Amino acid sequence: MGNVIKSTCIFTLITLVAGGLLGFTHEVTKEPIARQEQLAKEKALSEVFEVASRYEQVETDAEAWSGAISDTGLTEEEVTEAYRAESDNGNVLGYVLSGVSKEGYGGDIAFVMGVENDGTVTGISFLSLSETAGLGMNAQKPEFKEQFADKKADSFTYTKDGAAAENEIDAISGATITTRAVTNGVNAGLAVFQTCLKGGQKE
Amino acid sequence: MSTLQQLLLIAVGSALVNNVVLSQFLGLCPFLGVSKNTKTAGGMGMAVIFVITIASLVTGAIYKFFLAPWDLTYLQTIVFILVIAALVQLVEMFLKKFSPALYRALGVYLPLITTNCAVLGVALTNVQKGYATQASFGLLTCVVNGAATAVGFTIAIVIMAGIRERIEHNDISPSFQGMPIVLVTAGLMAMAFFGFSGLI
Amino acid sequence: MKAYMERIYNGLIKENPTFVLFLGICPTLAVTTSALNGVGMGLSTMAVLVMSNLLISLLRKVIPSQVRMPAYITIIASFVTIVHLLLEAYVPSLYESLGLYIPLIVVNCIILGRAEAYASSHSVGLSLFDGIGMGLGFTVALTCIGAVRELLGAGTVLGFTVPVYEPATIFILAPGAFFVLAALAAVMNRVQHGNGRTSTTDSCLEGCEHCTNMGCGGRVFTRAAVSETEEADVPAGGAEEIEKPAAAEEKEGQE
Repeated sequence: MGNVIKSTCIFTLITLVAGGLLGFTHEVTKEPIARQEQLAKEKALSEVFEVASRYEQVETDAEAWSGAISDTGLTEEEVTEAYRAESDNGNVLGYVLSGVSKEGYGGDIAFVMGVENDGTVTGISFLSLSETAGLGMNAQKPEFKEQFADKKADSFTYTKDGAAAENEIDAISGATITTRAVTNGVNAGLAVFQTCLKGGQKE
Repeated sequence: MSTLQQLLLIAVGSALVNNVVLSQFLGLCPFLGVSKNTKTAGGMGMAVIFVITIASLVTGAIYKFFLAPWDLTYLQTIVFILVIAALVQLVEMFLKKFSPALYRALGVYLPLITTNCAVLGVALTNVQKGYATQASFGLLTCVVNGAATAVGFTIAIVIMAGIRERIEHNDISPSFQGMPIVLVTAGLMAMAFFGFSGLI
Repeated sequence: MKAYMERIYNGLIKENPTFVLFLGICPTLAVTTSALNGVGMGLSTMAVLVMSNLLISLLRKVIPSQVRMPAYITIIASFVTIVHLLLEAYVPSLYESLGLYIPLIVVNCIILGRAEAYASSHSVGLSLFDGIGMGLGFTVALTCIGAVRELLGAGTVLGFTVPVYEPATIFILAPGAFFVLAALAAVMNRVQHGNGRTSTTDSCLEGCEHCTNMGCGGRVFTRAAVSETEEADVPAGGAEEIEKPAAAEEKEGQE
């Protein structure tokens, strides 16, 4: 019996030390992790809206935004943050929206997209993407992302047999699900832009 | 999309499309090691279904009610692996006492499961995909995902065992005997399972 | 000094965890879509392996044998979480590409296997070098597989595109992983045993079963069984792999 108590004590001790050590590491790395996320976001912001020099966060109006998204029939997408993209002299050039699409093949897809005041998409970029290597991961390639850039459309659709119209996106071969998730994400962003932010009305 | 539809989609996705062994490479050790005949493979599969389903529920609940509210999510790996190890022991003890028949059928395989990375993999996937913290039906989603993943494992290992029983009598080039031919078989199966991605 | 170098050689070549023992296949196949991923996974695993070997060897006289397994798992899981947090904080790109497989280092058979078979019964110095050797062996293997798959499947070498060659995507995908490992295993078979018909591969498979055995809560492997395998460990080659599972099965039968 004494043996059991001794074993239990030692094991408890090990667990406690391990827990303490982890807590310490967590405290130490908390800040760098947050900073990395911030950095990644800033990089993504400037990537999708190159011409702007400043990004001012717009207050999130979760209810109105999700209303705008569900009005278009999308259920799995969400726009979480929006930034006003401003030029050097403070003119509002457009908006950068950051959102999540939950329809991804390998989990949630977090993305950012830039929209000019007239509704032209300036570009998209991913904050987190965990799709199949070699298939869905090809969404990260410029060939796919650039299909959205410099296009003015109310919403995008994807096609498997060669995009013909302005608002058509060529699906990534072998990764229709990823394509759909991304396209719907962009559409959700456009919906929020059109109904809630359009033309910089909400100064 | 209704909840039922969503659950069905998750189930098909985890069992066939994203097969745990053939596309996510989890649980390869038992897949390659315990697939010499269909009977043991089936037994292993059943044991895995049993353990993963329970483990999904327990780890999902722990995450939802303890780790997430107290901001301790960084402890998930250590908590999950210990819980799974303890759970396997408990299940074994429980079966031994209350269901000797089931224990005789699955008992041998249970100890092998603790380090089956599929179990921890499912627990972590449930958290990563946000099933565990989902507002409604979170735990149910975890369980469905876990059970479906385990069913996928069973399908894969039983098919593998069936093929290996046939291979036994074939004349294979000496260099490819044993492990290499099994891996080639697994590769071909993985290709076949790609076909399921058309389902979703 | 010679003994230390011997550990490194042992891990790299003689008992290479991937090519000879076929341990830790899950991460080997899952993350080797590029050479760089292979290096990253290899080094992360090595860090955990070295630290856990060191600590387990230090504590080998303190940890009671009944709670050996949970204690090892706790130690390993702690180091894995530390590596996980550090990667997330300082090497986010690698963290992104390895994803789920970082926490899964916990269940990598190599780590628990080395803790049980080596660190729990050898001096701190030797265990440290054993960890380094095994870690290097794993890293080299992962890098090789990653490089092959990256070249064939994506047509790049360490991210630089190879001209002319049209890549076959299949090698980046799941089946390609199996095919590449199958080819490498066949080469190993050939090198080790020439043309003769052999049953080595059976021992490989049971090596796997045996490695799962090791983690099963410390009941299947008693102290006695471990010391038996330790003795069997000394003569190298495939033979020991046959003996280990035999010992394990015996124990299982008794229960």
